[in-house]
Amino acid sequence: MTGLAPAMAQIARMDIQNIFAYRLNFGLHLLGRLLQIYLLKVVWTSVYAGRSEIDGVMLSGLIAYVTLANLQTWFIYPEALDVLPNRVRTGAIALDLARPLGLLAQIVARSIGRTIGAFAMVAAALPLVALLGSLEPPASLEAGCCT
Amino acid sequence: MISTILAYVITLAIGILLSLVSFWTLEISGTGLLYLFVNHFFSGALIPLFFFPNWLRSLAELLPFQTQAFLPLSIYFGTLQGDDALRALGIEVLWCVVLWAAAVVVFRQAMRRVQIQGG
Repeated sequence: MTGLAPAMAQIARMDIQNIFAYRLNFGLHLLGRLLQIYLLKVVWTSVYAGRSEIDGVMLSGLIAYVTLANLQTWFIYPEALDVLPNRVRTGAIALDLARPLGLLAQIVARSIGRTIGAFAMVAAALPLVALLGSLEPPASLEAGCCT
Repeated sequence: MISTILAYVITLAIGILLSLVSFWTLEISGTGLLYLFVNHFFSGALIPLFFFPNWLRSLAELLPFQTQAFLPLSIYFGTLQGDDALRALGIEVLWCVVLWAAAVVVFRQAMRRVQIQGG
């Protein structure tokens, strides 16, 4: 168990480095998601047709919701879905299985690395996110519980 | 924050479960595409679940996808508070346990199928 965490941290670090090595590709993925957020904003604004509220749901709140929902589903995307089948198909899975760290732990570590890298990219793109979508602080902060 | 971490753990379990299918079929791009669409829709990322018709919302609440966006963000925006927020966290914990148990079982089955020749 003591060797598990450092090994997983090392694999996660490799995946973070991988994201930054291919930052243009990853940035384009993020740009695609931001475009989707912008288009959803346009569609929902059109659906509201000049009204600021429908069924008690404010348009501004809805756009903030859609923005955060799409960012969240993007950065928690399970990398295993792309990586593992490819490694099984090419036979590279044999190398993964030969490693001292279990395959399941490797998958988890890689996913954590990917998420940290994606989160860093989203953090860097926050001004663009705010421009294309909308951001709102959590309700607990607005209520003053954490100030 | 806790809800988002649970959402991540659930998403990871679903990802592992689906990717393990490749040990039987080799190619899962179709499954992956289906997952992306179903997940995106039922997570509430495109349309919040409170705009769904009742029958569709009932269906969405039976699936684990609402835990990936709708529940964490409902807590974030204060739509779910108190007992409702705790219930939402309970649903997420339940899905974590169920999906990870399933992932471990399927993983063991997949490992039985692996045959490596040469080296």
